[in-house]
Amino acid sequence: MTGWVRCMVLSAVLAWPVPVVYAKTILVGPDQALKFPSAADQVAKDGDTVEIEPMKGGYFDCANWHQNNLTIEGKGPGVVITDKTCEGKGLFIVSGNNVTVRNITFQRARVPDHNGAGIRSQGTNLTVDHCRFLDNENGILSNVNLTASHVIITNSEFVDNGSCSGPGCAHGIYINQVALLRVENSVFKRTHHGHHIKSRAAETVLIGNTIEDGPTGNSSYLVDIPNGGTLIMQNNTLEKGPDAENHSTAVTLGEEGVTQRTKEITITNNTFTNDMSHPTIFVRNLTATPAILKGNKLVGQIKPLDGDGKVE
Amino acid sequence: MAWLCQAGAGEARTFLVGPDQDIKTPSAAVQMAHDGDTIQIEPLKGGYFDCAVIKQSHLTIEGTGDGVVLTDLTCAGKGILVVDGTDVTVRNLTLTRARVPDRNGAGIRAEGTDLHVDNVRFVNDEVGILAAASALSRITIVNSQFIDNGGCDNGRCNSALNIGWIALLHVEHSVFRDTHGGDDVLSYAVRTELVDDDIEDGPTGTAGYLVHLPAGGSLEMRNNRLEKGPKTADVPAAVSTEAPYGSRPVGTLVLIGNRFTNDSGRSFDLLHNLSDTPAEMANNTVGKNTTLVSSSGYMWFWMKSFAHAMLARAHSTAYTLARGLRDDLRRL
Repeated sequence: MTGWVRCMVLSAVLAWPVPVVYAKTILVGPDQALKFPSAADQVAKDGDTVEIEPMKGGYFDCANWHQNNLTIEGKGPGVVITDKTCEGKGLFIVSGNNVTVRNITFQRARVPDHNGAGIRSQGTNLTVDHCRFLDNENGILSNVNLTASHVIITNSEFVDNGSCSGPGCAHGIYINQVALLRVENSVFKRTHHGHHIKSRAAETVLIGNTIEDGPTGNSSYLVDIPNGGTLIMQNNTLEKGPDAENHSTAVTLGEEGVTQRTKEITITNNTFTNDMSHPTIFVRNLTATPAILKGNKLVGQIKPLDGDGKVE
Repeated sequence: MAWLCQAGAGEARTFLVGPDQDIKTPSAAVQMAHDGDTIQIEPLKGGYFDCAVIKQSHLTIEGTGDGVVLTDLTCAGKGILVVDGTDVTVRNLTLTRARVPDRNGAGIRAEGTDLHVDNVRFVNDEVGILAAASALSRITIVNSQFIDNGGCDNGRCNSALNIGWIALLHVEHSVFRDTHGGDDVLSYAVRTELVDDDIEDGPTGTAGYLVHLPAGGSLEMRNNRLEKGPKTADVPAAVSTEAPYGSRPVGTLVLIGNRFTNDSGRSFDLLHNLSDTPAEMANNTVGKNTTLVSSSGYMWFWMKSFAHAMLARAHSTAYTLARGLRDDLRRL
């Protein structure tokens, strides 16, 4: 091939219109073309960002997000999704992988099965940041067997969630079989009947959270790790209130039977207050892995540990 | 079909389990096995996180060598191996870290008839072997070790061996050490035979009785090495035989050639016999601070058990009368 021909071919190849997909930002709001989050769900593609503006009275809306690498976020405070549930599951169903949800309030999710969730996680890897979950059956509920998934919750609030009206109970958050549940700097308050945090994750890490019944909360456990699994709790503020329905224990591991390996149980520098009129146990460990309790401050009638482990 | 050796119709088969075999877990092999088959398990690094319910009879489940471990996972809320079948043999395994919500997680939960345990290590289980009542059953344990089992929950303590009302418990050439809270050998069997065993607290064990027959039955102990350690639970004796009112009597009571070492720093009886049956004692050696045999408190023990039985009967009669009265009133 001569140099001239080579040059022409190269130019043609370079000039060929290759479709390039750019991640785009989709705006939702009362004054935008897309009036509801579910309308954005119809047009969003993998990698997009959906920005939702506040609307008075909140969005009476629900959506099932199938896109991967999606970011869904409220623009400013006061972005509320309320009441309406999709597929009998929840307000937002997240079916895509690697989805981030930020700055949104989810409230009043109810479904006939009594496990209506603010967010129902069906994909792998979910990040929730600066969200509020108010008066739902479950704040966040994950599907079973998402074994590679990492669920990360930061700077969020879970208030007045929980229910035991259905065949099982609903909880502040109810995470099934995932690789990691990590909750940081979040608040769980006034959970009703169910547990504040129930996790079947291989590893559960809780750091810097406030998990408390308060004067009117009537939860069961503060933290339930029913099948075993690693548990690391650091610098959390915990309280069982006078109306707590389960007097026995604040944190429990293995109460449904151990079905997975427990590599480590480390509970350090937490504060736990018992405001019930009954004595209680801080950590009840029904696995064979010794729980290490270190530097925790216990206020009230509390036995620090029941089961394998040591209190330092 | 590499896993299936000797696959003749109706013949006993052998299933091979291992990381490089088609069958990866013991429980998968148990699913496939029939009466009379053998399951051989190869070692796996980190142990098998597995449990199984064995309903087959005449089954053998065995490790192919040392270091075959089943750990953590329990079946039916009961134990690592739950044996419902008849004439089952368990051999060359380590069963460890059994925990269940009821706090009686067993290395083996025996619910069938006739169990043979050979060269099995029970380490850090709530109960090593927990056997349900089964009137004709004989449980034979040889060359096995029970280490670091037991533990207490709200005043209820687990024993390394907890055997219900069966025909015979025979334990030979086995080791019990570092049991916590409960007894080493707790037996309701009609006959209990312990031969050439080491049953000892060691420096850290907190066991109660080394051997405890709380409801009569015969006991024969020959050539065992027994020790109570510095952290023993508060019990008066190494061996306790009790025949409360209403239980079967202690049939024969034979202790021959046993050696007891008292490292507890306080006085002990080798045998505390709370029954009418005289003990036949020969060639036993005991060290400092130890009485060979004592029946102190027997009358008081018997009267308490009598009163307890009468109270229970009165309660039951009152309950029946009250129910009858309630039903009569309803009919009016």
